[in-house]
This record gives sequence, structure tokens and C-alpha cells, in this order.
Amino acid sequence: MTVATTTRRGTAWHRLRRNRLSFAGVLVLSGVVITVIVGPLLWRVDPIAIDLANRLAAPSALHPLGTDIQGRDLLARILHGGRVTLFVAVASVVVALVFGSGAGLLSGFVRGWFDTAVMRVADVLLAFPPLLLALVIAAARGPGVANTILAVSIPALPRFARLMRAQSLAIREREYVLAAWAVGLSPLRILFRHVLPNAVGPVTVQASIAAGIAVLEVAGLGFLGLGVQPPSPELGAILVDSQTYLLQQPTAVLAPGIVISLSILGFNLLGDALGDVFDVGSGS
Amino acid sequence: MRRLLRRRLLLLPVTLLGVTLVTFLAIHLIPGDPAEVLAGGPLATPEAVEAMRTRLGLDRPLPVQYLSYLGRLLRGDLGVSLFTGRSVASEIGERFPASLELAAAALLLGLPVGTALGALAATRRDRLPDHLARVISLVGLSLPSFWLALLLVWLFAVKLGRLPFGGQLPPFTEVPRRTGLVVVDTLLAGDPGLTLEALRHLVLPAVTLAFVPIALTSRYTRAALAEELASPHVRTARAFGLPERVVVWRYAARNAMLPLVTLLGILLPALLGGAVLIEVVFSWPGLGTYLLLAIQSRDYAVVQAVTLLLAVLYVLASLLVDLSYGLLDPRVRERG
Repeated sequence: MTVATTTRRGTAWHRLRRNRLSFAGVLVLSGVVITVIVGPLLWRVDPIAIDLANRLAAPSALHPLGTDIQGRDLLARILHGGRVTLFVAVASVVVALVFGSGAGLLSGFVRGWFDTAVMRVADVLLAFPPLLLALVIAAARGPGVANTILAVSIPALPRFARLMRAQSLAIREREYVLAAWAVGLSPLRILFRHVLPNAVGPVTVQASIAAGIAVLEVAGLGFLGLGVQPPSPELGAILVDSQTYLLQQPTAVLAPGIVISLSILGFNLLGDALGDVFDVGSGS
Repeated sequence: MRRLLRRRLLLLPVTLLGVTLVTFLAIHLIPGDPAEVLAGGPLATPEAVEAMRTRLGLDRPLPVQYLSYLGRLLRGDLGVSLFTGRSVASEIGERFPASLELAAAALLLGLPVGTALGALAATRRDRLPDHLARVISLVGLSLPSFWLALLLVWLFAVKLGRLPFGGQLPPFTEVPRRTGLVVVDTLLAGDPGLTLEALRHLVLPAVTLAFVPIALTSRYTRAALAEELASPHVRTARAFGLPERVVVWRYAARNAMLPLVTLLGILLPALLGGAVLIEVVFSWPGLGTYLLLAIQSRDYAVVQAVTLLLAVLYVLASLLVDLSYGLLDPRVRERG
């Protein structure tokens, strides 16, 4: 078993290296993540310190990306804002992953009325275009970090649930699971030790794709004023603010958009790469 | 196929009922008391709040409220805008054509471009056009639409000054409303100059909205055509010495068209969801701006109605796609 796993990891790494585009994606994503984590530690400028004497200052050594309409340093705002946007997006994917896959795993494992109930709820959630659902939840719950996480995670739930259910349904019929039942292991142990670990692959692919969508939705909600609220910087919120002085300070529009785009691109490429590694969807 | 069809049709009412339950409950999830908000916020007198609660029917038990909501929906009554006091159904009727016009323009632009790009990539695999198509579709899926909109406005409207942005027509111009589709209405009004203006206003939002359809269509076309080109019947056609052009168009492309039907089902939510943000940037008077205005003014009836409408459209569209897929493909038709 150990040998088999090692060989499989070996080929997985090999496949990842072979596909240059996937590899580039992993690099881009790690670049963005490291920048927003380490960046604010190195560039220790307050992202919300207002300096009206230096409004819309051109890029200089003091302000590498210039300042915004209130004289706030744009580099600091984008580093901190990127952190907020990425954190909220990843947090919402984690929430969706845990609850969605959890429901799906159980659903496929116990079947019966629970399965029917979970799948009907998933159908209903899938009936709404994701961004629209996030928008309405954010509008109903009000802005803020926690509500944005909620609003972005709910539309992602059914996709995780469906995927995990399919995995769970398939795996529960495998011989090793039947063998586990036969030797009298407890259902919980079978669920967590035998079914779950073998269902993880496709879910990581979905998580990566969902993270890209989540970044888009978090920034979109911020852009519409329904997401993370000022003074806390958030990339979408920075964009809606800076569009009014697009002509005087183009970097204020360009930079946040580039960070958003690179994150989404990175997650999409990582999803493709993981799809190759776990051999998901190559058959279709 | 019959069984699949019956199952889908049986589940449809269940899903639709669930959708109405979500839009109904959305109002009750709102923190605070909608009656208080509508009566004028914290300054409202308790009597006014109570009167508003009675007016909205919020004093009745939830199941009763839900049943009366369903009853009104069945009669086609989407409620009254709390802000303008007009019927939401008629306001949606005024807004819908603008969204439809934008979505149609984005599809008319996106489908041909995407198909061409995908076909080019599939017939020249692992060569420059293939790599180019892959990069274009990756970028198309990664750029946030509202940012793209800002960039295009900056470049074409501000820097180059070539294209207008904001609204459907120049300020202070109007066209007699017949279909609600401004381009069609200007044509019906017999004013070609105005048609040109309407088209010029349509260009930037439509191009922005077309990015996702282009990316998705080219991906699907490439995958489907590449699969067909590797299939035995194409090999046979090649073995007969048919010219490559005939092989591709007569033998491979025909079968590769099938996934495009599914694609339409995937594009619809992208167009409906993505359009909200794009409409806002371009002040496009469609359902997206209507929804956002309603959210900002806490016009719950409008938010409820627009959400419900978009969800129902979405459900029906994906059902139609599933069914047509079954009808088009004999393999699916025969099975089950």
C-alpha cells in the first residue's frame, strides 16, 4: 500500500511538471499568496492612514504605486486588500467544502430519506445563478466579512455535495469497504478511514475551481458595496472607489484588477493541474 | 429517455417550489424587522410599525404567509414596488428587454468567435493557434467582468474617445417603445442614425459580457472536435482520401455540435449572473441595475421578484437543454 502511494505521488509530480501551463499556474498562485502574506510585513505602511496633502500622488519611491484620492498608499492598500479578498474567498471555500462534502459523503453513505432531502436542497440551490444567490444573501444579511463568507459559500455548497455523494456512492460498493463491513468495523470508522480518504481527489479539484469563483464573487460583492466594508481594504471595494478617478490615477484601477485576475488564473490553472493529477474529467 | 424525461419533469415542480420557499424566506432572514425599516427606520412610532406589519401581512403565521405568497405568484402577481408603488411585474417588463438585448448581443458575438477559435485549436493541436486559443480562454475566464469593463471604458471611451458608454442611447434622445429592444425600435422608427448610436452604445457592454462565452465556447468546441477527429469514422473518411476540409466539416464538426447545446445551458447563468455587474458599470437599464437599486433602497418585493424570475428562467433553460440533448443524440434517446 505504501509503495503504491509513493509511486502514484511520483507520477503525479511528474505529470504536474510535464504540463508547463499547470506548473506556471502553481507558480502564479504561490506568488500571489506569498506576496499578500509576506508583503504587508515588509511594506509596513498603514493602508488606511489618510494624508490629504498627498492626494493622488504619482508613483514614487515613497509610494511605488502612488496614492488614492485620500492620500492613502496604494501599494499598502493592495497588499492588505489582496490579503482580505483572498482570505475571505478561501474561508468561504473551506466552509462550503466542509459542509457540502460532509452532507454529500453522508448522503451517499446512508442513502434513504437523508439522501433525498440533501439532493433536493442541492437542486434548489443550483437553481439560482451563483453570483445572483451570493448577491441576494449578502443583501439580506448585510455587508461584512462573516456575511460575505456566508454569501459566497452557500452557492458553492451543492457542487461539493453532489460530487462527494457520487464518490461516496461508488466507493461504498468497493470490495475493501465490503471487507471492512464484514470484519465488523463501526460505520463511523468505515466512513472516515475507508470511504473519505479515497474520495478526496476530485474534491480538491472542485475546491480549486471554487476558489477562483469565490475570489470573483468576493471582489464582485465588494465592488457593489455589499461585501467587506471600508475602511478595511478589499480589492473589489478599492476598484469601485478608484474608478471615479481612473484618469488621474490609473494604477489604482490597474493594480487591484491585476491581483484579482492573477489569483483567479492561478486557481483555475491549479484546478486543471489537479484534474490531470487525479485524472478527473479526462474521460468526458 | 422516457424515464429520464419523466423524472426530470416530476422533479421540476419540487425544485420550483423550493425556489419559491427560498425567495420567500429570504425576507425573513433579514436582520431586524422589515416592517420597521419600511415604516421609516428606528424613528418610526410603534403604531406605524404595527400598521406596516399588518399591511405587509407579516403579523400572520409563516405558513399562511407562504401560501398566500404562492397564491399571488400563481395569479402572476409579483407584488408592488415599495419604492415606486408600481406593479413589479410591469417594471420588470420594462427592464427585461434591455437585459435580453445585451445577452443576445453577447451570444451573437461570443458563439461564432468562440467556435472559430476552438475549431482552429482542434485542427491545429499543439501548434500556435492551439496555444493562443488556450491562453485566450484562460484569460477570458480569469478577468473579472467589472474590471474588464473599466479597462475597455478607459481605453475606448476615454483615451481614444471612439465609443460612448453609459445607457443605451445618447442623453436626451428617445425612441418610441415597440419591442423594448432599442436597436430594433430605432430601426422600426426608421432612424438609421439612431440605430448606429444604439449599436455604438451596445458595443462595449456586449464585448465585456462576451468574454466568458468566447472562453467557454472555444474550450468546448476544441474538446468536442478533437474527440471527433480521433474517432474511427473520421479515420475511415481520411483513409478514403477525402480532403481534410470535408473530413472536418462533414464528418467531425456535425457530431461535435452536440455539446454546444449543453454549453448554452452553462452560458445562460454566466450571462444572467455576470450581467448584473456589467450593467452597473455601464448604467445599462436592465434587470441587473434594477436589482441593485432595489437592494440599495431595501425594496424587498422587487429583490424577491427579480431573483425568482431569474431562477425560474435558469431552471427551465437547463431542463430544455437536458431534454434537447436527449432528443438530438440517438445514443441518449435509446438508453433508459
